[in-house]
Amino acid sequence: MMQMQRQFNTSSNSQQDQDPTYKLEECLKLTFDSLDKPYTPTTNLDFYQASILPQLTQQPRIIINGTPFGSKPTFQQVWSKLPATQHQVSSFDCHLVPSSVPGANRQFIILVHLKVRFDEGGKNRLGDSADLLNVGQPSQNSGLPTRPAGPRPYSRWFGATVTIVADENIVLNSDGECISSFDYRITDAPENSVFII
Amino acid sequence: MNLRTEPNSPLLRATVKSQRDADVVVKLSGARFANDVVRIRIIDTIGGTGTNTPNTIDLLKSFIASRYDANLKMLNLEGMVHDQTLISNGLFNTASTNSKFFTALMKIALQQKIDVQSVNLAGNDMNDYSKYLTELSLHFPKVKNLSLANNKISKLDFFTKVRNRFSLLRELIISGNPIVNMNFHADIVKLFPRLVVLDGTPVRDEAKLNAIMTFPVPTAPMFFETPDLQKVATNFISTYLQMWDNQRMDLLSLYTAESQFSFMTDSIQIGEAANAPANSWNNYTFGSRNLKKISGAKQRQAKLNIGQEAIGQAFQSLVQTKHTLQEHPELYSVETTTYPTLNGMHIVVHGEFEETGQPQQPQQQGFQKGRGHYRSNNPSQQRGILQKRSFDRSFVVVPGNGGSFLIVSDMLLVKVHNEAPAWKIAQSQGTPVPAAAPTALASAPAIGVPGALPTGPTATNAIPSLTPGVVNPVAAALPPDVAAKLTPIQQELILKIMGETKLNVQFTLMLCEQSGWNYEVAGQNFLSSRAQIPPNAFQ
Repeated sequence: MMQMQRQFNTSSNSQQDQDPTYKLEECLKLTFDSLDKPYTPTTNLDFYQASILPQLTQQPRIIINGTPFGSKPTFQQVWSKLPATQHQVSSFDCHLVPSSVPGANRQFIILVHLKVRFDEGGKNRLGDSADLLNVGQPSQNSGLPTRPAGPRPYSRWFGATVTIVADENIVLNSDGECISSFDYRITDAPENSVFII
Repeated sequence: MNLRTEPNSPLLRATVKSQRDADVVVKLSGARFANDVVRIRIIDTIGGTGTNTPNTIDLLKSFIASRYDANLKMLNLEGMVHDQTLISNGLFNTASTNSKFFTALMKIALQQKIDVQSVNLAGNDMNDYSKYLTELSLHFPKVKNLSLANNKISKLDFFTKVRNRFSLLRELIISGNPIVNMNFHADIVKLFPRLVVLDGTPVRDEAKLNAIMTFPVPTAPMFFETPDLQKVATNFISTYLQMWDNQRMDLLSLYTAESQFSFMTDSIQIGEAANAPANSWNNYTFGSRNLKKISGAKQRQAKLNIGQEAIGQAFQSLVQTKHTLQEHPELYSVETTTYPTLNGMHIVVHGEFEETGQPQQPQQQGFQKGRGHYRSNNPSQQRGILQKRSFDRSFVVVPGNGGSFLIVSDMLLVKVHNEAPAWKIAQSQGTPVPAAAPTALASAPAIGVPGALPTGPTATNAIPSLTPGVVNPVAAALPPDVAAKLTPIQQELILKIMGETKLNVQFTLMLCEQSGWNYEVAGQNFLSSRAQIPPNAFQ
């Protein structure tokens, strides 16, 4: 079935046929958007966590800053406790590598460089806060707007390099479980940052 | 303005007459000029304030010495405006000398290189227009504890002026100021995201705050999926990078007709790195395969080097380099996993290199044809500036015939140089391990045991089984007392040289130390002094 689907899709898309990397940027955007996805309190927490990097296979290699995770749900739980994040892909390259197993799909090796920043407003994305005073609402006479001024107080940018191993079908179905290895390394950290690694 | 260039550097250095001029100029930082972003920093401001006659400087130095407590790391400036010595020297005579005095005091304190974690500015008649706090934030942004007690501060604006400045401020005292009666506490807390105690009252749960403001996964510079992978990968990387610097074309034997190699540059600026001029990347421009910028299928394909010949040309088109993995292993970071579909391994290296020479064969001939009329006759103008770079590199490596390694995929990303990689900063900060951190598998670098050379007669069938004993041609280990003093990479170098020279541990150690832990130099030193080496130096 998958084979048929692949044939169908590739034959219907001449650009994809010419260049297997054609849709990869879009896939990467979806992948990293899932790391930044905001949590809404009405969402079921399990459901929210499962929406973080859903592209991971069931038994993936996940290494974050040199620390491995035993399972996809463990990673998703830890990630869901981060403050809000923003990832921006700055550059990427990839190779499509054949498998030694006859008939098996090829794999993309993708090297991605990104900027990432973290919400320094004092809450994680689930809404947990360390505040003991009610600091959410500025006083009436402060002259400050009652909402935090301007956009979210994000940290300065960090730099990260991510290496991904993905089944070639990622370009056909970017929500499918096709990332078998996800290695996320923060390489650059800004000075005087409130958020630290 | 007096502007001059720095030799061998992309920096411009300029001097202006006054602090005010400097403040105006520095506001232009971040502006775009000639297709690039200009970054401007004030690097030395002493001498521009007007109060700094030699006598004043000495006076301020001794004042700082009398007010600094090294044990508490505290600069106690309480009631300085009532200090008779300062008053009698006319430092508070006018508003102008008053503001210059504090700027000079901060600069001199900074030059004294004192570790200041706490500052007491209590009882200094500070009102809402006082510049003291702003000056403090510019010079000592890492202050953790600050007292502003018993001043005349009444407006929240006094604090909003320094928002985002004291990123580590933990405790603040504002009692004895009119503002404490105005219910601004919550607003002040909001302005200082790390504030935990305000006027002695806890305002944030510190443990929870640390958990929220710290990346929830601990940082480890090295990860190897298995101990055996560690042996193979450590050896592979150190040998590969060393050959990349010294015998790059010999590495081609690791590539096959199907091997893929590509490189890309990313000039994005993160942090405080000095700004690079636009032509800084000239050496990479032609071959760079950043798919974010290159969308055409033909171009994408053209910049992907497949097979030994194309890869060899690409290698020659890249600058000559020097990596410092042996001397400064802390500047490098590695993750290695198995790569099951090819029964191989996936190695990712992050680090830096110095560009030591222009490419042997710049890959611009094709480029030249198309734009020949446009190019300068002087090829040196087209060359990039040699400098330090940071890089990331991904290798997929599989076992080849006869026990050698073969590289299936090799991708190199060259970036703006970063003096202090994040894993090094995280180590120095002693990142606490949060409760939420994964418990599984954390793998620290241990003793580097030599594996097979990439291509060598002693190489074994390295990767397929990845079981203990298979990858260990030089069945040797260092005595624990020797090993304890050495980095894993140094240990590995020792074992490698022992294997090749048959010297014993002590003499190998001596040879390595005398050769600056450089494999090449050690080899030359060994050969040149071989006749003098006593028989008992050998195993």
